[in-house]
Amino acid sequence: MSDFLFRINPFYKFTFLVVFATVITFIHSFWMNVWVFGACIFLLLTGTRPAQHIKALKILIPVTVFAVSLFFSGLFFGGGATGPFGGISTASTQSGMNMATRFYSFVGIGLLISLTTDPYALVKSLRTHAKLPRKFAYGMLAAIHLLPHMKTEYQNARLAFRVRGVPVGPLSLKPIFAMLVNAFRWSEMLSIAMISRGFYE
Amino acid sequence: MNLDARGLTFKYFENARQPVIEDFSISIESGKITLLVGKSGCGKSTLGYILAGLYPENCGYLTEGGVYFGGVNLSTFTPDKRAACVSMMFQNPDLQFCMNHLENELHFCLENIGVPEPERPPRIKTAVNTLGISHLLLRSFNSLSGGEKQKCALCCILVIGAKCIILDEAFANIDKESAREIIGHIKTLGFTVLAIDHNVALWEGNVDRTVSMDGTYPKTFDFRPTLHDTGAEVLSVRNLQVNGIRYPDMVFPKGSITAIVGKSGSGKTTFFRTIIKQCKYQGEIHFFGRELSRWRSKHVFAKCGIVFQNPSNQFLALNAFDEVLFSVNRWHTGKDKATKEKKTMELLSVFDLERYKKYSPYLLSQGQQRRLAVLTMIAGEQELLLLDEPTYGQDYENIVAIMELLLEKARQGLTVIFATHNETLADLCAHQTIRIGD
Amino acid sequence: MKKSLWNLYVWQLKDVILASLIAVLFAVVCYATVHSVVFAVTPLVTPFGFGDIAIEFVFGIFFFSAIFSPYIMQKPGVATVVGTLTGLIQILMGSAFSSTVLVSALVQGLSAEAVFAMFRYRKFNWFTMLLAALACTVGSFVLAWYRGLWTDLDPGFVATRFIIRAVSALLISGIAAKFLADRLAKAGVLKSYPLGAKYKGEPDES
Ligand SMILES: Nc1ncnc2c1ncn2[C@@H]1O[C@H](COP(=O)(O)OP(=O)(O)OP(=O)(O)O)[C@@H](O)[C@H]1O
Ligand SMILES: Nc1ncnc2c1ncn2[C@@H]1O[C@H](COP(=O)(O)OP(=O)(O)OP(=O)(O)O)[C@@H](O)[C@H]1O
Ligand SMILES: [Mg+2]
Ligand SMILES: [Mg+2]
Repeated sequence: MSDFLFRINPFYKFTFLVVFATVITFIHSFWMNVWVFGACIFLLLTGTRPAQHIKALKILIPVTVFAVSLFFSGLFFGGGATGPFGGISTASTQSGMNMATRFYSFVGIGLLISLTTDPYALVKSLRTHAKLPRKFAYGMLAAIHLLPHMKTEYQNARLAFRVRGVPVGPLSLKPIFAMLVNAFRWSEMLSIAMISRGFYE
Repeated sequence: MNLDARGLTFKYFENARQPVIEDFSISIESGKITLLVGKSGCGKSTLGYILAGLYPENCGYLTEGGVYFGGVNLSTFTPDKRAACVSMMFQNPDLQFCMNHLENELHFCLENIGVPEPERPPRIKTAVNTLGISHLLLRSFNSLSGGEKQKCALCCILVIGAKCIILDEAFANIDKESAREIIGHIKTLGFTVLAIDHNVALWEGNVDRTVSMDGTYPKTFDFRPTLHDTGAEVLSVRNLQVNGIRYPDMVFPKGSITAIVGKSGSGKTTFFRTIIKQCKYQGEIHFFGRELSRWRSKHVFAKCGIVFQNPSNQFLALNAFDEVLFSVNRWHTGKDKATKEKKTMELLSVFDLERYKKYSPYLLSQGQQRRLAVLTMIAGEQELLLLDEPTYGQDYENIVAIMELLLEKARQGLTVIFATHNETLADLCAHQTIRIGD
Repeated sequence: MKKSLWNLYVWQLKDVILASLIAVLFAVVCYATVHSVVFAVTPLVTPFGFGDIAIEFVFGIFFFSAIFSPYIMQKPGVATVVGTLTGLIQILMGSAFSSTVLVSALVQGLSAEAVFAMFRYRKFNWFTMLLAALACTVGSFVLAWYRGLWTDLDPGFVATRFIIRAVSALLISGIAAKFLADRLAKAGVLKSYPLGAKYKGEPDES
């Protein structure tokens, strides 16, 4: 067990992985997909702590559901097949396998990014290595701070509706709209707050 | 050095019917504490923003006049220089912070004004100790109570150490003893202070000059309503414990008005959230004849309304009129549209808000927002109403208007529980006062 | 004086924060959408090979931020920056679509940007908005088609997907986004952004 993935410079790691994900967009090969995903998992297992392994598993559940659905799309509509009841063949099975593994390969790269990147460290490193202007760095940080806040804010927005007797389901858009209105006020107030604290590019 | 404003005329909208501030001048003398008073919505906070150099740079139009610090026009300063001269604490305890917790926020402040890294920790330590909040340094801002947030905001002001500080209702969510203590510290530190406050009693003995923006001065509180008799019990609490906070046993009869008082962070807001089933609790809460845990939230909300401590958590419509109409619609089904709209306008005018009916709730002054939030709940016909600091940031007339409305409703059978830091109000307008967190 | 060329190109602090905030907000919305569709709908239709088509019905949500925010801020770069940030934050949150979102988000942002740039960031009307939504559809579709190996799939199936995605985009990120922004502007919330600056009077006069 080690955590060497956390110690790599976040900016370089991030750039490398994004470029890599872009490059493999142009390479269509079943075995490459398998290798990429395998390598990512290997890196995750050796380069992160058990807490991250559990998170990875949690992310892989919906991923697998989606990958299976991709496989069926390929099976029924790929390689010459034209629907669930016609023309399933070796070619269409192959097509399904390709699509599903390909998705896994992208997920592997994504896992490396999401599990080993701390937003603060990334922004900080963007500032030193990519010369991101201070305004952007702190502006983004201020917004990122609201990310954990979002959950409370969302619950507050839902509560505001429920208190007034409006039922809100889990997929209701009303609280999201209320938060959007709030977002404009937040951004104005936050920027005024930052400037009043002497923030200056 | 003095901070002078000369002939200010300011408006929020380019084609506004009438400016918010018209030809106003004020001189804040170096080393003195000046208290600024005036009715809610007369433009005190706006003036604060202008004096701190934040408006019109970020919002609105200053058509005439200017602000001078020691004779130099403030608009020629860069934000970092300006922050070292004048800094302002905002009225809304939320939305003042750019970082996740106090320590980062303080580092951010010091970095901005160019304090090198090694000098920061001692300065932070002094500021934090002055206010006695070292335990809050690493707490996430959104887990703090209203008063704790205000103390953190004050801490930022202290750590920047600007020569002149503007405090906009800085103690509205803080109990009187702590507030007096902090004011004492500020006085000894020798800041030039402009304090905007409706609660003049807090500053007694420490102010050097009181200025009114609109010619009105706060009156001493002498609203003495006759209290009516109360009915049978609707809510009672025994052996209650929430998040490690222990509550005394309480009984709330029908039609009664109860004031809940206690230091900031003692658990008033937590108590209200528990009643509307937002917190897990141990102990017994008897809610309209049944244990609270056996009620479904939907039915709790039909019986019980709440005004949140932060008004911006209350709003769901795009303008003030719709906000109140929404509640009116829900509780007066069957009446025709014109009647409902008339009722809405009536309610708005009770609290001096009819002029702002098309304003987004968020554009109102803090005091106006609070009144609107109270209206949205009073418009309903719930049997129990919880109000978290309904009178904070209000002038005398509006406090009386709010309390009169509540009293009238209580006579008709509404049970009212409100949290407050205003003990006079608690003594005069409530059947019982419950102190928590001793 | 207020709307000089300088103002058009320079990002003020409040622009940066609003852009990041909208990105954060919609990253959460997209994340929730993806996960609820993947868990609630996909398993039901997977046996018929329609599993990954389910997401197409709500695809407009993914373009929303990249079209909504430039409409409000009306300056170059907003669509790209907000679009990309939305993707980036989704990755950091651990989205199931992982690294695919980042590249898609960039492409979507650029597609919307191209449309607004074509009108030199001066014209923001129904036509521009719908065109931007359509551009996002095409951009994201071409990328998905190439990257996701849809070249291999039945053309009829792919065409159906395209139509569903286009309709969803037009409705959600074209029509709904503009409608929403206009209502916000009328209420006076946006007065410090170009869209709201049009309303110069107090809210009840306009
Ligand atoms: N951002 C804004 N846009 C438009 N109008 C505003 C804005 N902020 C405040 N106003 C209006 O300007 C007036 C003055 O507001 P301000 O906040 O300065 O009042 P105040 O004296 O501080 O009141 P309070 O004691 O209630 O805090 C109010 O009528 C309010 O509706
Ligand atoms: N989400 C939370 N997570 C952890 N602690 C919390 C949370 N919310 C409140 N607290 C803590 O619980 C205590 C009670 O908070 P509460 O908000 O009930 O205080 P209050 O009496 O309303 O104070 P105030 O008068 O300042 O508003 C405080 O110490 C606060 O820091
Ligand atoms: Mg005010
Ligand atoms: Mg409280």
